[in-house]
Amino acid sequence: MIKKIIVVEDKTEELQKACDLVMAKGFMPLACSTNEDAVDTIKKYQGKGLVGILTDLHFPVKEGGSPEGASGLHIVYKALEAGIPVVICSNINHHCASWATDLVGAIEKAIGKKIAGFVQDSKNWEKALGLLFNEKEK
Amino acid sequence: MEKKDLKVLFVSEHNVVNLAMGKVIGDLFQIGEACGTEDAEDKIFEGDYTHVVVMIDLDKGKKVYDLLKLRLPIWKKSAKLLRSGYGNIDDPDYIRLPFLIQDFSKFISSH
Repeated sequence: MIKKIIVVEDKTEELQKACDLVMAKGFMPLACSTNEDAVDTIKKYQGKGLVGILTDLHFPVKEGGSPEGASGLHIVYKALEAGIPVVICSNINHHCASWATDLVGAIEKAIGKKIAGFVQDSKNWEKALGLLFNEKEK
Repeated sequence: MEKKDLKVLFVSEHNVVNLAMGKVIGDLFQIGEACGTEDAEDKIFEGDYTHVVVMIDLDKGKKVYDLLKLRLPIWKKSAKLLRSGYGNIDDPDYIRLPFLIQDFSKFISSH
């Protein structure tokens, strides 16, 4: 079975960058640009080779929707619930990120599992993928 | 492109359609295969298809088609993504089922 990593990002250039890194490591990237696509993809591939998730924080719920909402938090919830390692990769300024870290903490507490990492200040997909692999090796 | 160079994958949620299509297109092209929506992405990612035709009459097929529009270029696959189904859709990239096999062959060759 091919090992797969879901990548959630609504900006095409960033999505390609992240997926190129995933492919270079020998994994199949499952690109998603909306929350709806990501949730469907988790459901479809859970237990079928899905080994991790890299997600942006802000992207639309559905095709054509506004990217304002923090849909990444829903992906974190779904990933932890399914026991799939997840890393958030966002260019959110770390000085303004306390609301997001608080909400991630609340989700972690509710589910009883921790995320593999939260990359802030820049879309550093390489760092995010490294954090995901550290979690996978545990 | 000659028919002998074409590698075609037909994707549908209907097992019966896939069985029939697999038999019919198997001899038409260099590769002529059919599979379900669950296996399609693995086959496409690992394969080297020139054409992928997705049956979009039901939700799973529509979803696979929409996601392949996003994922094929990400995977750097140059396969032409086409649609099929029972409805009447006026689009050169769509072929209505049931079709004569000569019509399917012409449809693929024209893309």
